[in-house]
Amino acid sequence: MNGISISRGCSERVRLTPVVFVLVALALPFLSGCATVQPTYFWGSYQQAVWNRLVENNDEAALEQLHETLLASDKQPLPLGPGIRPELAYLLYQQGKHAQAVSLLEAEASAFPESEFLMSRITTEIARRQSNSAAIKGDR
Amino acid sequence: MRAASLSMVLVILALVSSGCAPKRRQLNQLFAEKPKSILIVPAANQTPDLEAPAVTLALLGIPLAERGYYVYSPALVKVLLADMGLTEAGLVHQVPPQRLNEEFGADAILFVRVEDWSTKYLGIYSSVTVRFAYELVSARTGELLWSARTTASSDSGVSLNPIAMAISAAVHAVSQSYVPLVGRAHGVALYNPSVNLPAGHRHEAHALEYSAVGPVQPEP
Repeated sequence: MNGISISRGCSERVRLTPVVFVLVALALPFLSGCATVQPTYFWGSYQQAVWNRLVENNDEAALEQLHETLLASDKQPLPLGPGIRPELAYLLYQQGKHAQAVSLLEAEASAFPESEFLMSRITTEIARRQSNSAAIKGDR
Repeated sequence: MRAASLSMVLVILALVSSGCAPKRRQLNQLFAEKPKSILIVPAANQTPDLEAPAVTLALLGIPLAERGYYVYSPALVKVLLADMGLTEAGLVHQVPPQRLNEEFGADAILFVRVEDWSTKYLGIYSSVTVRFAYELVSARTGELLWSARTTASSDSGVSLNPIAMAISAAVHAVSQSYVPLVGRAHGVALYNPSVNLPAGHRHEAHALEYSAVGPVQPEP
């Protein structure tokens, strides 16, 4: 782990490169000393997207990375990791793309039945807000 | 003397070879409830570093999901909690877990506390340390299912000028030198057999790690 060096520029902000994430992810299984762990899921750029959302507050970059991940997953043998679709759904909802958001939430619920409760709650909430705003427009 | 040293070798061998054997801790409640979905809520922070909780949270979701559990996307969870009026990690950690179950349908809640997040300077050397406390709580019963505390630190061995470091901190690039350590601490909590969270229902080792077979610790 000491081999990882991150250059620190004083004038420019250092970006967290995908390389670091990959190194961190690869290092995890070796810490246990047990048999190598194969990844179960395809994650694409999800780690960077979460980083952009939580640490950098850069939703725009996150949206692009999640989109890219979703598209790339078509060609992957591994299934898309849990949480990726709802994360993208939220950002698309923010942009007013409600139908796309709902279809991603439904896809998550069918891929991971454990998530069904929350996914349908959010879907219902989106529909409620849509009908509310339709009612407001109708009043005008 | 020979017998003593031979038995010593055997003891050491036994310790080494048992490295992968599942050790049983107080996990009865976890085994009884078998949570499938885990809600990671924003981390509580006991350090002065404002970025520590976000970095901690951002690096936990993928390894936990790879451990076989359904993990809600942490950034979406943060938004949904804010909708409930829970904008601060401190508030979330005080909410009854059952309330979170009603909102999210999660089986269990993972609370993480950042206990240390520091860089110490020893002459020309610097040493970075992170320490986390993890508590997995049942969202149905509120009972503690699993807990762990892990520390990771690195001695850079590189001469780092504290003034340059302070400037870097000002443009907050420094938190990124913590990334490998956070990854290592999370890795120990999830993968080290002496402390780890047993594999969830989507993991191939689930049946083994959740089974009652193994050296069961006597109830106190």
